[in-house]
Amino acid sequence: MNLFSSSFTGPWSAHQASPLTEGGPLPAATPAGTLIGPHHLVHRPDTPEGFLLAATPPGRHRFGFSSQLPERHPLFSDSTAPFHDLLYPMESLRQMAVFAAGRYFRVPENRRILLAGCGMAVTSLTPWQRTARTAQLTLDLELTPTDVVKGVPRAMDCQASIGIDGEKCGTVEARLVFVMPGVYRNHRAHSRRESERTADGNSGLPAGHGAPGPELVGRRTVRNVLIGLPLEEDEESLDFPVNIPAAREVLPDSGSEVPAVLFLEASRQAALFSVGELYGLAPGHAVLTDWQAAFRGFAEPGLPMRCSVRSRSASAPGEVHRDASGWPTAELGLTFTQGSRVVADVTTSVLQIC
Amino acid sequence: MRFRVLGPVRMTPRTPTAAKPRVVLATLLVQANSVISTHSLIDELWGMEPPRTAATTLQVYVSQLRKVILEGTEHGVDGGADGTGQLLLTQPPGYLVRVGPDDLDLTVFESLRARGRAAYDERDYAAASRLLAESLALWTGPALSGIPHGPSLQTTAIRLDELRSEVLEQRIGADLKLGRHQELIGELMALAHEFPMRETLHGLLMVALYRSGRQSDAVQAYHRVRRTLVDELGVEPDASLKRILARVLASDPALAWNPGRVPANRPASGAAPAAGSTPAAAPAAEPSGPLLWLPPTLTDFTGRDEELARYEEVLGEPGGPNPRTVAVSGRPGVGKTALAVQLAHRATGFPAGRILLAMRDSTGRALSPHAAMSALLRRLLRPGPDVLPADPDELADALHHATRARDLLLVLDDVVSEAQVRPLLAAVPDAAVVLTSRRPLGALEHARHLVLDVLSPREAESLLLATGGSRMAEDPAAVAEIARLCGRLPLALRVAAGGIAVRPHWTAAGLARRLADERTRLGALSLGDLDVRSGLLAAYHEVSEAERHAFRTLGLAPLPDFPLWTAQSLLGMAADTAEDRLEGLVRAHLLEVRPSAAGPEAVRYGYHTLLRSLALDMLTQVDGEEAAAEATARLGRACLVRARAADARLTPGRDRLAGVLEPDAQALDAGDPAVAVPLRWFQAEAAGLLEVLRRLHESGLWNLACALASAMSGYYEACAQWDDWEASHELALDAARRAENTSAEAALLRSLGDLAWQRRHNGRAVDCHRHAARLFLLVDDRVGAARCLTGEADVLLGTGEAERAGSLYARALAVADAEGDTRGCAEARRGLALVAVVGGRPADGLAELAACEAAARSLGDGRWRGYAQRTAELVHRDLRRDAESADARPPHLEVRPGVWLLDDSPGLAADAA
Repeated sequence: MNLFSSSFTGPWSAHQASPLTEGGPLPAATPAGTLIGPHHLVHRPDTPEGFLLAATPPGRHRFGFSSQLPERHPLFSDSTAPFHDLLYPMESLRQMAVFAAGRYFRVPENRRILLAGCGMAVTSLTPWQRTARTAQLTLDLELTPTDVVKGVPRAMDCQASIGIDGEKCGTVEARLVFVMPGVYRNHRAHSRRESERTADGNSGLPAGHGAPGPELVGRRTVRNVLIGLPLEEDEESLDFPVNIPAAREVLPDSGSEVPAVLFLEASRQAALFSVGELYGLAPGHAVLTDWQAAFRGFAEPGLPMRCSVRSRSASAPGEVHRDASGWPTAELGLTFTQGSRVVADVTTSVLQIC
Repeated sequence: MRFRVLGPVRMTPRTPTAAKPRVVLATLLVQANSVISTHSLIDELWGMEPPRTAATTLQVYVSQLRKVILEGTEHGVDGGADGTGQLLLTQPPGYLVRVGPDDLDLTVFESLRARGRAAYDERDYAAASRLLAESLALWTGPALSGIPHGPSLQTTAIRLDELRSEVLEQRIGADLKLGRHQELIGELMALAHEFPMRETLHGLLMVALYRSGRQSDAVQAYHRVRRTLVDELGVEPDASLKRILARVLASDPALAWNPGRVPANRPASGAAPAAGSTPAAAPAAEPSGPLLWLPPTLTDFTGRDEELARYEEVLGEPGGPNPRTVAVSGRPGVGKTALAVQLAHRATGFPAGRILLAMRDSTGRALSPHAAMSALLRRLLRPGPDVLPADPDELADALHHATRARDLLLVLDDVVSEAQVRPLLAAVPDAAVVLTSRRPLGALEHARHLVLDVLSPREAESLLLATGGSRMAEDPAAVAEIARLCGRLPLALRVAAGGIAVRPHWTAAGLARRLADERTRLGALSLGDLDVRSGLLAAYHEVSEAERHAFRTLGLAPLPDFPLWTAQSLLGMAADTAEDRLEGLVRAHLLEVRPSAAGPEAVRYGYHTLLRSLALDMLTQVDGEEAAAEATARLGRACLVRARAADARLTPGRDRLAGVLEPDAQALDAGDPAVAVPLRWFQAEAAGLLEVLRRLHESGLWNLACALASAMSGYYEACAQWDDWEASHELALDAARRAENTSAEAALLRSLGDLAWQRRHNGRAVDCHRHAARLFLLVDDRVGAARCLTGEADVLLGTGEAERAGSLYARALAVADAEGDTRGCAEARRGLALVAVVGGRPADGLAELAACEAAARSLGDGRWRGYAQRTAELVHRDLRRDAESADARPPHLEVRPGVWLLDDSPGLAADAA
C-alpha cells in the first residue's frame, strides 16, 4: 500500500493525535460528552482457539453489538424528522472497529487509524421511526483484516447489518487503514501544505455569513447546525461553507483532526437544505436512505472547508423522482474541498416521508 | 377453365359487366348441372321485394348470358357437353347450366381437395401437399366476390371460404410433416395476422416456430392469440392450443420434426427387402444424406457451458484411442435429455447422422436389449426392412454391419441399466454414444461419466427470464426466490416460468408466494401434462421398498443436510444398514452427498428441495403421523445425547437439566465428533438442532424439547447466537409450561435472562433472573437460584451499581460454596473480581480472579480459565500503567468471556486500550 500515491486515506483517528511539529492542527476540542453510552460488544468465536483464548490468527471475526438508542441525546435526538439518527450506528461501528483492531487484530497502539471509505444504507424505514418506547440497536459485525504483514493487518474491512428492536433495517460499512505514525505525519503535513496554498481564511463561516435555520437542515437546535448559508447556487447545485469549529463542539471523536462523522452530518445537512432548494422537498420530513463516502485526503480543522452539492439525476432541474411507495426522492452528489483539494466525495439519497 | 367462382365471378371469354346477370350465372354455377328454379333465382336477385317484371327481367338476364356463352363457343371454346353450344338450358321449373369437370374452378377444386385429403389420410404428405396446393392455387380472391349476394350465394360464399381455410390448414399440416417448417413461418405469420382468432393456424405457427428452434417465439405466438381471444371474445384458447404450448415448454421431442416419420420417400412396391432376407443387404438402401433423428435444440437452453465444451471434445475424436461414450446421469428434471440433445447438435462431425433413441416405450417400460437394437436398426436403414432377425446375434451382426465405419452419433435416452445397453453398445463400436440415465451407469466399460447437477443460481435465473418473459424480468428479487424454491431444477424452473407465461394475471412475486410453502410446492409446479411431482415419483418408484421407506423417513431430517447418525436415529437401525440405505438413495439420485468442508463429519446427506417436499408428502400418505412422531422422538434423543456431550466439554457444569430431565440412555465414544470437537460439532449441527427442537415442540414432546434447548444454551451463550438462542428458548419455555415442568422453566428462564443481559435488555434480564430464582427455589434447587443472583448482579454491574452487584455476587458465592457448585463459584468470584477492579481494589480483584481460575481448572473449563488469566494480566498491566493515576479503573471490562462492557463516557474513552 502506498499511502502517498493513493487517494483514499481519510481523517478518522481513534487516538489522541500526536502534536505536529510544524504547522500543526488546531488544539483538540473538548470531547462532546457521552456519545454512545454503555454498551456490550460480544465476540462470536468460530474457531477453537478463538473460543478458548479469544485470540486467533488474523482472519475474519464476528461480533454482536447491542445498545439502547439514545432518547435525549443533545445531538442524536435532535432531528426534526421522527427517525433515529443515522450517526449513532455509524459512530457505534467506528468505536467497535477501533476497539477490536487493538484487542482482536493486534494492531499496535501507536498506529493511526484512518478511514478510506464508509457508507450506510437504510433497507427498511419503519424500524427507524421513533416511538414512545426505548429502542434497542444491534449490529451484527464482521471485521476482516487485509494486507496482513507479520500477523498485523494494515487495513480492515468492517461491515454490519443494523437491527432495531429485532428488525433488520440497514447496513453500515467502513474500510479502516492502519498507518505508522511517521507515515501519518508526513502524509498529513503534505496534505496540509497543499490545502494552505489555495485556501484562505479560518475554518469557521466567513465573517458575517449566516447559518440556515436548524429546521432547514433537519435539526432542532442552532448549536447543531454545521453549515452556513450557500455561498453560491444555481439551478442544479449549491455551495456551502462548513463550520468546522461548530462541528468539533458537537460531534464525537473531535481530536486534532476533522472527525469522520462530520462528513456524514455536514453532508446530511447540506443535502436536506439542498433538496428544499432544488426540489422543493421539506427538509424537516426528509431522511437520508443511502450515504456513501470516499475519502481522498486529510481535512485540516484549521482550514476552511466547502461542501458543494449537485443533483445526480438525469432529469430536468427540479423534477422529482418517486420511490415505489410514491414518496419523493432525490439523488445528490457532494464534494468536500479545502482550497483546490478534494478531501471527500459523497453520494446520497434523500427521501421525503409524508 | 371457362367459369370461375373461387374469387371474382368470371367466365371466358367475357364476363357480363352488369351485376345481376353475373348473380344469375354464379347462382347457376355453384349448383352446376342442377336445375335452379326461377323462384330461387328471383329470390337471389331481388330478395323479398322483387319487381313486378321479375320473371321477364330474369329471362332477359338469361338471354344475355346465353349470348356471351355463345361468343365463347364462336371463339373456339368448347360448346358444351352435348356439343351443341347450348350450355345454359331452360328446364322447368327453371334453368340449369351444364359444365364439364374441368370447366368450373369449383369442380376442379373439390376434386383436388378430395384427392389431397385422401393422400393425407394415406400419409402420403408430399402428394397431399401438392394436390392441396394446386386446389388452393385456383383461388383468386374471396369466393363469389364482385357480385351482390342473396341468401343462397351468401351461404355458399361462407361455405367455400371456410373450405378454403380447411384446405389451407391441411396443406400446411402436410408441409409440416415434410419438414418444411422454416419455409412455412412467413406464410403462417401472415395468415395468423389475417385470421387472428383462428386457433388452428396459430397452433401450426407454434409448431413451425418450435421446429425451427424458435421456442420463445412459439410461446409468444400463443400469447398473441390468447390475448386476442380474451380481449375480443372473452374466451381462453382451446385445449389443443394449450397442449401445444405445454409441449413447447416441455421441449417435447415428439413435437419436433422427425424425418424418420416421413413416408414421402417410401419405396416403390418390391423395393423393400424380401421377407426373411437378412438386413445385411440393407446398405444398398443406405440414405444419401445424413440421418437426423433429433429433437431441435432449445432456443432458451441455459448454462452447462463447461460440460458441453468438455464432452463435445470427447465426442469429436473419431479414431482416437478413447471410446466415445458419455454417460449422463442425474435426478429427474435436471435436464439430462436437453443436455444430450444440445451436445448432439453441437458436436462437430458425424456425417453419417445423429440419432436419438428413447430406451423406454410410451408407457414408460424399459425396452429390452433386443427391442432397442431393432429400433435403432430401423432408424438406421432407410427404407427399413420389413422383418428383422429374431436371433439376437444376427440382430447384433446386422447392427454392426449397418454402423461399421460410419461416423454416427447416437443418443440413448433414459437408459435403465447397463445390461439394457451393453449388447447395443457392443454392436456399434464405431459410433459415438451419449447415454442418459437416472442412475449412474457405473459398470459401463470405457464410458466417461457426467453426473448432472442443478443449475447455478445465475443460470437458473437466466432460464426463468428466458422462458418466463417480461413479467419475470420486472422483479429480480422474486426471480431469485423462485429459482431457490425450485431448487434450481431445470424442469421445475420451466414449469414455473411457463405458469407465469400462460397466466397474464400472475406476477413473479405471486408465484414465489405460491411456492413458498414446502407442503404445497410440488402441487404448484404443474402445467398441462408437465408435472414435476410425477417426474420425481418415477425415480422414487424405481428403488426398493426399504429404500422408499428410508427416503420418506429421512425427509424428517433437518435442513440443509444431515450426517449418518441422524439417518441412523430416524431409521432406527444400525449404522451400517443405515449407510447402505443412504448409498442406495444416492445412487438413485434421490439423495445427495455433500462433502462436509467445515463440519466434523466426513460426509453429509441432503435432499433436493423438491425431493424433500415429495418425501414429506409420501411420508404422510404412506406412513402416517404416528410413524413420523416416533422417528422424530428417536432423532430428538440422538440430538440430546450429542448436544449434552458437546456442552459438557464446552461449558462443563452449566446445564442444570443434564442428568435430571430425559437422562441419557447411552454414552458416546470419545472419538464421536460431539465429544472430540464440540465447537465444530455445534457449528455444523446448530441449524439442524434448532429445526429438530421445533419438530419436537410440534410433536408435543415437551420434555425432550426443554432438555435439548437447555443443552444448546451453552453454545448459544458462548458464541452469542442471539436469534437462535431466543427462538429455541422461547419454544422450550412454552414446552416447559405446557409440561408444568418447573425445573425446566427455571433453567430456560435463567438462560433467557443471560440472553437479555448480553443484549443489554436490562429490565427483562432482571425479570428473568428473579422469576427463575423463585422457580428454582420452588423445586429446592438452591444452586440454580444462586446462579440467578449472579446473573442479576451482572446486570447491576453493567448499569454502574457495582456495590449492589457485589452484594449479590457474595450471596451467590456463599450458596455455591455451601452446595459445592464449582461453576457457581467461578462465576461469582469473577463478578467479585470485577467489582473490586471497578472499585479501585485491583489486588482484591486479582485474588478473586485467581480463585476463579482455580475453579475453572477444577471444572475442566479451559475457556473460563483463559478468561480469568487474561483479565488478571490486564489488571496487572493497568496497575503498571496507571501507577501514578488517581483513576485506576480499566476503561473496558470483559465481564464474561468474550463479552465486553464498553463505555465511551468522558474519563473512560480517554484511556482507550
